[in-house]
Formats: sequence, C-alpha cells, structure tokens
Amino acid sequence: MSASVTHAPGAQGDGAGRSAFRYVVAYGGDRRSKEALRLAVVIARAFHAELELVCVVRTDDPYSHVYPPVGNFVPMITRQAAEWLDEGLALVPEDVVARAHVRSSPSVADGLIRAVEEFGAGLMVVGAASGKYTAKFSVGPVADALLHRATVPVALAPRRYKGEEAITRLYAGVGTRPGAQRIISETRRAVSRTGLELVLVNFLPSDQVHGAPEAAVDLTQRTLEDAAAEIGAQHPVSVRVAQGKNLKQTVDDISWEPGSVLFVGSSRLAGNRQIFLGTTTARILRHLPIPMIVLPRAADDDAAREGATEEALT
Amino acid sequence: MSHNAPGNLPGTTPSGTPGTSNGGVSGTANAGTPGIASPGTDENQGKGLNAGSVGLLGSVVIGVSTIAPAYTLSGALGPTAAAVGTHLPAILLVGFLPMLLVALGYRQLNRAMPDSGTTFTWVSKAFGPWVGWMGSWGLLAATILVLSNLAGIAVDFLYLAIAQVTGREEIAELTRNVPLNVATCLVFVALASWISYRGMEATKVVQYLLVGFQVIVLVWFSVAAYLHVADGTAFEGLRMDPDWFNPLSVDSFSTFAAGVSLSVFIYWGWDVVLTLNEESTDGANTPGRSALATILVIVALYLMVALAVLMYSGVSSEGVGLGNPDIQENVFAALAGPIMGPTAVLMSIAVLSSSAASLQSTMISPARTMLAMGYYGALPRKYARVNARFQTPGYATMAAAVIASVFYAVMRVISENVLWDTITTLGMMVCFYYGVTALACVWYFRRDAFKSVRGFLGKFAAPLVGGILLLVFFVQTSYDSMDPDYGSGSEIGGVGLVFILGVGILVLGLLMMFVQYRRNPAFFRQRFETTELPVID
Repeated sequence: MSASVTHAPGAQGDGAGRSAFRYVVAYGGDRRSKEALRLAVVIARAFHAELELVCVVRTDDPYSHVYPPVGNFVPMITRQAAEWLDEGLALVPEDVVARAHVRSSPSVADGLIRAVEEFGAGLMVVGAASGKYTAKFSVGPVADALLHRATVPVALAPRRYKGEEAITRLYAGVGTRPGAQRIISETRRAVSRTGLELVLVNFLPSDQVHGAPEAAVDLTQRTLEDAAAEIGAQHPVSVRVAQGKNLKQTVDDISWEPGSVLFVGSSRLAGNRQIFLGTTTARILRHLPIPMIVLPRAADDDAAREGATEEALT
Repeated sequence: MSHNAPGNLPGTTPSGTPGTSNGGVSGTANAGTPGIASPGTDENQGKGLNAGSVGLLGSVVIGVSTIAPAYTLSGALGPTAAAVGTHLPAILLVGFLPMLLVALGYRQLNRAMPDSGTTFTWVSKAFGPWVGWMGSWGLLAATILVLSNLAGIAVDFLYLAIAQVTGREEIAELTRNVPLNVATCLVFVALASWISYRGMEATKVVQYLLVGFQVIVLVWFSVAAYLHVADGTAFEGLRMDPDWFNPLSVDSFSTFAAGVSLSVFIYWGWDVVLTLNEESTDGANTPGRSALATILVIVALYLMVALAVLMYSGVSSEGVGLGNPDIQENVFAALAGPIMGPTAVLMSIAVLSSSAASLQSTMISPARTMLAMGYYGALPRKYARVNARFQTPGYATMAAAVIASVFYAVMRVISENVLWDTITTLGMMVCFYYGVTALACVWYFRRDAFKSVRGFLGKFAAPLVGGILLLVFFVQTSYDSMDPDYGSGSEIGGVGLVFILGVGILVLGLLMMFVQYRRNPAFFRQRFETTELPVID
C-alpha cells in the first residue's frame, strides 16, 4: 500500500535488499485479535508486507493502587502474553512473514503507537469489534483511541471476520468536499502497486440531501468520474453512488464483495499526519461488512512530514 | 528501539530477528521452568510503574488513599476504643511501629523478588512451599475479610446518605434489615468485581479528588468536635490527658495486644509508598522523604480524628460514648450527625466514596494473589487464567467476589456485630501474615544482611523485631479471643466468635493446603523458584 511508502522510512533501515513494509498487528489472544490477525494476513499478502504481532501488556497506573499491595503483576501477564503470541504466530500461514513482540505500557493504545514508531510500520491492524449485541463495527476503547490519534493508517477488522478471501478489490470512499485529494492520491498509489480493482464510492443517504436528490446524485457521480479520470486509465476504475433512505440503507445499497476493503480518509479535524475518525465515517463503520482502512490526514507539506518522521524515529 | 536490554535474564523478549519467518515469540524460551521470565523487553519498561511519574505529593496521596482513612477510622476506631479506652492515641502511635519495621523488610523483599504474589512468593522462597502457602492464605483471608467489611460499611453509609439527603430518617434504618442489607452488599461487591474484571483503573485525578475530599471532611469533623468541646456542647467533653499518650499505662498486655492488632489493620497498606519510591527518578537521593511525609500525614490525621472523637464522646457506654456497643462498629455513622450538624451528609459521602473506592482496589488484591498461586501450582490451574481482552485474572476475580459475598451473607446472619467481628479478625490475620512475611525477609537475607549497617537494619533487625512483635500480638489476641466476651461479645457455643473466625480460617487453610497437596503435590515437593534480583544497598 502506498501509505507504507510514505510512512515507513524505517523499513529501509533493515538492511540491503529488504524493502518489505511492516504492519503492526494488535494481538492479545482474544477473538478480535484473531480477526485482526486474519485481516493482517490478507492485507500483507496483497501489499507484500511483513507482520509484527504486538501484545501490549498494561502496566498499573501508580495512582490505581492495589490494596493490600501484592507486588508487580506485569511479569505474569507478560508470560501469558508470550503464550498468546505463540498461538497467534501459529495462525499465520507459511507465506507471510510474522514476528511477535511483547511490549508494556500504561495504555494499550500508547503501546501500539510506540510499536509503530519502533518498527517503522506503515499500517496498524486492530480488531474493532466488541460487545455481543452491538453492531458489527462497534469500536472498543483501544481502537477508538487509535482512530483518533494514530499517525499511520489503521485497518479495522469487522466482527466475525474470517479472512477467507484474498483481497481483489479496493473501495475508496471519496467525498465531494476538500480533503478528498488525499484519498485519491493514496488510492492511486495503492492500485498501481497491487493492480487491484478499484471502486470509488460515495454515500448519499436521502435524509442528508437538500433539494432534488437527482441533482445531488448527478453532481456526486460527476465528482467521482473526475476522480476516476485522475487516477488514470491504466487501472480498472469504476464509480458508484450509494443511495438509501438513511446511512444504514445507503451502506447496504452496495453489495460489498467479500474480498475487498474500504479506504476512508480522516475528518478535517485531524491534525497533520493524524487520524481522526469523522462522524459519518464512524457511522459507516457501524454498518460495514468488510474491513476498513482509515487513512491519516495528509501533512500540510511533505518536507515538514519527513522532518517530523525522522524525529520520531531517532 | 532497544531489542534486548543489557542484563536481561535468559528468556526475556528479544524482538524477532528480521527475516525469520514466524520466529518464536519473545519470552517463551524457558517455558518449562516455574519461574517467570523477566518482563524487560525494553529499557524503558519499568517494573510496572512509570519511572519518575510520582512525586512527593503524589506519594502522599497514594499512601493516604491506600489506607482509606474515612472508611478505616469509621470501622476501626470503635473496636479499638472498646479495647483500650482512652489510650487510643497511645495505641495509634505505638501500633505504627511494628508496621513500619515490617514495611522496611517488605521494601527489601520487593526489590529482591518483584514478581506478583508478595507474601506467597517471598515466604515460599524463604521457608518453602508449605509455610508460603499458609502465609498466602493469611493474606487471602485478610483481603476477603476486608472486602466484606468494606462492603458492609458502604451499605450503612449508602442508606445513611440517602436518609440525610431526603431528610427521612427511617431510610437509615433500612441497613438493619438483614435481607436488604445483604442484597445491597452483593450489588456493591458485584459492581466492584465487574470493574476489576474489566481492568478499569482509578486515575490520578480521581485519587486526588477522593483523597482531598476525605481529608477535608475529616479535618472539618475534627474541628467541629473540638469546637463542641470548647463550647461545652460536646456529649462528654473530656479534657486531653497526657496519660492517653502513654502506652505503658494500658492496663494489661492482652488489652495492649488487642489494640495493636487493630491499629495494624488501621495502618494496613500504606507500605505501598515504600515501593513507589523505588520507581521515582530521584529515588536514589531521597529514598525516605515521601515515605516519611506519608507517615507523618497519616499519623497526624489519625491522631487528630482519634483525639477529637475521644474528647467529644468519651468512653462511656451511654449514647454516643465510644463504649456504647451500638455505635462502636461504625462510629462516624453515629457521630457525624451530632458533631457536624447539617453537613453530616459530607461525612457519609466521604466514607461511602472511600469504602467504594477501596472495595474496588481490594478486589484486585486477592485475585492477583490467587493468580500467582494458581500460576505456581499452589492452587488449581484455573485460578491462573488471564482474560485475554482485559488482561485480568478473570476466574480468580470472580472467585474472590463469590467468597467475599458468601462470607458476608453468612456473617450478617449469624452475628449482630458483623463489622466489628470482621475488623477484629482482620487485625489478627494481618498480624499473622505480616509477621510471617517479615521473618521470611530475615531468613531470605540472612547471608548478606551483615555486610553493611544499613543492610543489617533494613534486612535483619527491623523485620525481625517487627515480625516477632506482630506474631506475639497474633498469638495473644488469638488466645484472648476464645473468651466469649471478647470484642463485640458474639459467641458460638461459649467460644468467642473472633477466635472461631480467626483460628477457623487458619485451620481451613491447612485443610485446603492438604487437599491441594493431594491434587497436585508437585508444588509442595519441589524447590520454589522465582525471579530474583540482587539487592545492593
């Protein structure tokens, strides 16, 4: 994926001849970790990346004491974490390179962000699902924190994700407002590297359209076609305006192919190079049956980004 | 991006070698040994606490929050006053000493063997698995006792606070309705265990608020009590007598031992501050400063409140006198109204928040102890199960909650003074396991304790004296508690309930130990091994 190119200068530091991208997989032995891992495997195959399974063991906050004190608990959990990671590695097929690491941090999200910096990773994969009775993509606290702070793209596996199909198609959520440029350029790089089929989509629920729906659909259709033209003729690009009474029906309007992922951008509230999940995206997330990759907002200028990235790595 | 911190033990986590496909996970290389691999994977990973994150004020706040002064005083002042009368201040001063001596030994053990389990791992290492098992049982029993007592106090103050807010006094009496009381208590325990199971933690802000509020209310309470005494409107209005501070004038050793074992409970937990110091960046040059500050704050706070209560109420057995058995197991519930007037609701909120917060932090303690015991094979393996999503010992947490609930329900039915009896038994249990642990420190460091004066004091003399004192108090209190009139006066078949509880718990521990020995003798037969670090003074 193109995002890896721009966000993983550390990958080159590994030695001559090794240009593999590294993805950090949040792995903790629970069901959603396994879903994250399955997703990581299919993305790694599509984008030729290597996986770093990271289990972040949470250390106690000193202010959250245990009464009466019973000593440090982290070594025991660390041991357990290593067992979980062993199980995780066993789930990774032979053709995908994967390594496992235990890290500790007072916050799991912080630990994962630090691991991304440590490995110079270009993408982070998390299992987003939680709660039995909530919708497919209800986001747990860790994923939520990452979706508002991560500096690399975050891939989210939906609940009960099986990862049986190889990725053959990318959907890219292209908006009509400024900021769509980032997703278009990322998507262009992604398809040129992988040769995946690309579908540009826009969600147009009728409860959010003012005036005649046909006009809005036409306008959106034209915007998508312009974007498709920009991406280039050498790739198979199609466009699709999803419609429905509300956002849920709009999301259901598309028959999401099993072997596909959806690229979406960050809210304009996001800082440079940072993810901030917008409200519409968050709601789409809830109804989406396929994995989603949320991109951070582009840096205002590339020079500043390079400088900042170098800083973060030293 | 360090991969392997220098000095890491074998089996620690190196980051996977680049290029290896599906390389082994860090930290599992020596999976066969019972010891735990060192957690270090990064240099910046501390022993669980962020280095330098706790300053002087932070330590004091943590220390005060561990002892939960509002809850502790409310539950323990009455039973202590019942034992030693006006010598309450003397006992509070003296009772601190064995705690301090033992805590110094704890600090050394914590540095040498930082793995979870404290008493369990330390005593097993020093004296072997049998003694370690029983020491740990004492710790477990104490935490279960304190859990049920905390929940009981929380229930009393919940109804009291509702009564004060709504102005309907009859609501406060609801706590005497046994089925309702037990049901409310179970709700509290269930909530606390759910929070612990989910791994949610109180944050710095919450702790500062809780501690600040408690201290303000306790100071307010004391000042109001002193003003009543000065105005002559106090219930008894005693004048302070220097003899109150003289431990030597306590009438008998039995009385003295009973008082000290209660005050051991009162101070229980503050020693966490000593291990915090270990973690702070300037720990090397100010090792004792924050511990000392915490000690001073705690002792001053306790003395202030104890004197206020004593001068206001006296020790008569009438009305709100501290000798009145009706108010003894929960003195603030009885005294806050007359002393603080309409602001008494603040005291209810302070005790309620203090006991609720402690309930949650106490729920974690037995769960982790059982986790450690399950891990080393001293309990069935299921106690060592860790929930993958929350990284908490799920089974052990639920077990602790169920045992504490059942214990509370049974006690509430058979004893009218359940809170009092549990507090007294609790004091005994703390004396027992602290004493055993202190002696484990002496034995563990027996070889290198004589290399320096400081090492001699911290590793040998202090824990030896402290441990012997606590065990003497334990034996004396156990013996005295056979008397049916002991403590609250609850009895079964002519034997004091406190004795039945305390000794019964230990006998039950022995039985459980043999059951576990039949099931899984491996733990008891092999040498106990855990990660040990050299301690340099």
